[in-house]
Amino acid sequence: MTVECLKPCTRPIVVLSVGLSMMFGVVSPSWAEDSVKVGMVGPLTGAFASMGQSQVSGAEMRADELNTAGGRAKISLLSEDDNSDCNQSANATVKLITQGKVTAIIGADNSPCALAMVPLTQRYKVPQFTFGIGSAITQQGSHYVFRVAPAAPQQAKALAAFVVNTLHKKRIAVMYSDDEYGASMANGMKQGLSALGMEPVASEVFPRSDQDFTGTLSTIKRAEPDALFTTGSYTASALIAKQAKQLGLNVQILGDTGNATPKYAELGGSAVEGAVLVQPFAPTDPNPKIQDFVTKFKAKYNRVPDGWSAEIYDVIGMISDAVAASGKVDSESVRAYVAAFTPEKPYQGVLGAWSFDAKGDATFPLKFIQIKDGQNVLLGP
Amino acid sequence: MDLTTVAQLVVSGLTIGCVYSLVGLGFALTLRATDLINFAQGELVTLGAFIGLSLLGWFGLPFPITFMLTIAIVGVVGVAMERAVLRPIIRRKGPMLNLLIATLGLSIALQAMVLIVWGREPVTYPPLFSIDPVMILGVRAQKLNLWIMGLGLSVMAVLQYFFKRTLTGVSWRAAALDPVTAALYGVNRSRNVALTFGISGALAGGAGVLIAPLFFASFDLGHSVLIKAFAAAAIGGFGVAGTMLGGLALGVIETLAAGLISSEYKNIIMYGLLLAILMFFFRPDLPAGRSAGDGVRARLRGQTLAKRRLAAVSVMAGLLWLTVPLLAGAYEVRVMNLAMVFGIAVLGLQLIVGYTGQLSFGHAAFFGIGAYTAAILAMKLGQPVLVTLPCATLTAALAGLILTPVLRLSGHYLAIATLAMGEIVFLLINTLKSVTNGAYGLYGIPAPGAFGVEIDTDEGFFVLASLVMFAVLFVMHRLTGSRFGRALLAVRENERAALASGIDATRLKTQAFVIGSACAGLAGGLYAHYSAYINPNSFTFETSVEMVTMVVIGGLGSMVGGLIGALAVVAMPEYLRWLAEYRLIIYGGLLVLFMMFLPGGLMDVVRMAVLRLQPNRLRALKAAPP
Repeated sequence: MTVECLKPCTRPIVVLSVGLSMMFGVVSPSWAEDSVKVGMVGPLTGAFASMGQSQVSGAEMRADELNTAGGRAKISLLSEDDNSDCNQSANATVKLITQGKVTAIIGADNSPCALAMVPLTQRYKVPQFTFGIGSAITQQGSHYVFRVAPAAPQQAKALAAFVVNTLHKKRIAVMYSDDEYGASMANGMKQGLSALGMEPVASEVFPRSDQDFTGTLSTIKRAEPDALFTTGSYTASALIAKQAKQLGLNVQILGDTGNATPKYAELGGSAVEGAVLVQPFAPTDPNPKIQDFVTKFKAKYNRVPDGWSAEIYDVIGMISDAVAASGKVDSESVRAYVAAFTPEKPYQGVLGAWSFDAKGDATFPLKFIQIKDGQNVLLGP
Repeated sequence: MDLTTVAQLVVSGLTIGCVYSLVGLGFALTLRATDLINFAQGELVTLGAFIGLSLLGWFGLPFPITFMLTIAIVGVVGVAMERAVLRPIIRRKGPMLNLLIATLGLSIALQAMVLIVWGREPVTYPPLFSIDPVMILGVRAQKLNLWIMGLGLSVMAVLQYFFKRTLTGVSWRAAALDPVTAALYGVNRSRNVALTFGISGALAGGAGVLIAPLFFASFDLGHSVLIKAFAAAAIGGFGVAGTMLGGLALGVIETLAAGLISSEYKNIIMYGLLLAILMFFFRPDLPAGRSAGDGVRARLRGQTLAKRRLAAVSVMAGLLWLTVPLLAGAYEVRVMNLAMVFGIAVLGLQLIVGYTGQLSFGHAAFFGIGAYTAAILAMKLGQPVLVTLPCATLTAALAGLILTPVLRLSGHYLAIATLAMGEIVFLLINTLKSVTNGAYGLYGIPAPGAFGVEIDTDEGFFVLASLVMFAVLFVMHRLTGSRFGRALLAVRENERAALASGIDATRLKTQAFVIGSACAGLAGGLYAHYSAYINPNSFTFETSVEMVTMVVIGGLGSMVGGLIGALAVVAMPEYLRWLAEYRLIIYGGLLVLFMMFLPGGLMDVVRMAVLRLQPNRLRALKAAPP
């Protein structure tokens, strides 16, 4: 029998041994002892990296502010990239908890990945804060998960009411991506409309990787809608808006918090002009607290903050408050402190007054914005 | 339904179809010339889109010049890719699968590079034409769409002329038909292959510049048309004219299905149609006599270790493995647990790909079927793991049995058919909401438990997964060492010769496929219990490709190799995480380097290490004639 690679094998052995030493000689950074360690899991690479980046920026900014001000336990942040792969999110969670000894964990940003983390944070009894919007995240009976964003049904229902009552649209069509995000939103919209005694005139699903929506849009067009709610990703939503215009489908475009990034208006151009979006945070909000946050964020990162950064900014504030209140760095007391926020005694953050319900869903004051001349303009609550 | 709408849909369908054709042609040409499915074709499209964007934006060149320049540049990239990476592998006579994984590595690395150079956010192309539609007989057509169709069709016409009328084109076709005879007539094969990659690159680059204005330029642009372009090539029988028609037909069918029937079912309809076409038109009368494992040396076991030693060493290694949780932390144990789960599935795939030489891109479908079966049984019927795992295994085996008719196809047609099959299963999981909860997935799957003991720790699961893995490994070891296993190898090496020696190849392939699917189902069941949450996105084409990567990286035709490959592929992203954006460049690069310098996979390293410990045996093997 042949042993094929007698010679070439020696070089790869070197490569492999380097690889193995990298694997097992894990570089473990030394973490300061008397600090509050907060772990973050989110996509820092890949298609959803901007979400992970927003999460990191928001946390970093608040931690820097608190650490500079002093007088409290220092906050140190440990961040892990999951590349939007839920197996990796779960691995990173265990790594942060068992090796990093974090007190609280933020993430993941993709709803299914946040969902995959819930059993783990529950098992290790570490509070988890996520802005994943999928409704199931908080429905697994874990007391350790807090959703710090408006859940899909909540925001879709609010949008439905606004569209029907304020914009006076009667025929609403829905286009959603075939993943958990899109399904959650579309379902929320359906519920919101049925609460008003209506139903979508068309409801069409599209595969996540699709870029040509002409076929689906012509089905939608036949239903003669006067408004079109698209959900999935801001890129797909911008493309759909463009292709709808090209097909001569001139209707009111609607969107959710997923489109609340300046990139949506930039990609959609004239096609998304006049689009109405629901979101918990608007950088153009004249509220001085928000303006202060926006100015500081711009100075630090040279870009306009989005809702995700604002949400995580508040989360770090909550964790710091919890440690200051109980006087000990301990997951259980952070959880208890955060769970105790009620509408009567809410947390006062940059997003306004917010608290959590029994399941861990945050209740937010939601806002509506419209795209005018490529800018997100606040429409009032 | 009025005729105008249909005409409207056809126009849109033809536009997107042109794109599928152009990218698909690149696939078809490389496949004809080198027998290789080039995964990097999609990334060349992306590269074309961004190079075009830079030429338009930075240098302000007019569109037609940009188009020509991009074609030239990406063509050169294609040639460079062939020269630097693929040619050395071809020269070493590596198996076709090694080339495939090398192009996969190239594709991952190229995509990561595009991401670093041009950023991760999609970018709009500068407006090339006014967006006022042109009305033709009541049909609204965009000027851009007309341009795309015009340029796309003329490129295809030029290509058709080249292959039919020029000497180079004719000699290319001769070499594709019969390389040896063509070489006797003086056709330079390596120049031909370089030419092929040049043309394929140019086509991809051209397609990139054409579709980017239609959509956006984004780093995953090419990846999104990859599967459909491949399907276009397969429908066209990987011929030039066929692929063109195949792409156009695919685009029109897809758009019409979405517009007239339902967007929810459009992809199921498309993949179903693809399967039907493949089964109907491309079922070979005779086995091709080649397989995906071509070039893998037949390896008999007992080569590195004497039989009596093998048993002792295996038991010791197994016991040693079980002590790992005592030494490693929860995180390391977790990574190994996932590796074992995938490893069990890979053992099955190794039997299908590594032993039988049948390339499958649909293994994740059986993994998913197993996972969903176990999850549903555990959640809705409260069954314990002793019931759920066997049921998961059986259901996947049954699904495998139902799908075995695809095994009548061979080579690339089989690859694309298994791909379509995998996509259909994924889409069905997503669509059958009442059973699978659709895109939401199933959550709260109970931890595995039996006899009143619940295994809810990583360490506990480690023991469970290890035991299952050892059991499957043992069965596989006995199976592949038996007459059955030898017969599989014979089918892999030469199906016609195997048939001539009285081996019922079809039956054997079916058996291997069913056993392999069963392994995937078992692994899926474990996965569902372990992660407690599953959703359809864990069972896509990407997962299938990852499993094939595990098989090849570990070493084709070696069961232990498959397990090592699974560990490497699961652990690599974990331990390369500190590289951030560069992680995927390194990962892709490692895949390429492995294929270039370690054609036998990681198992070869293990074999060498084992042999080094037994100098006598090493000497004896070196002395033995090959």
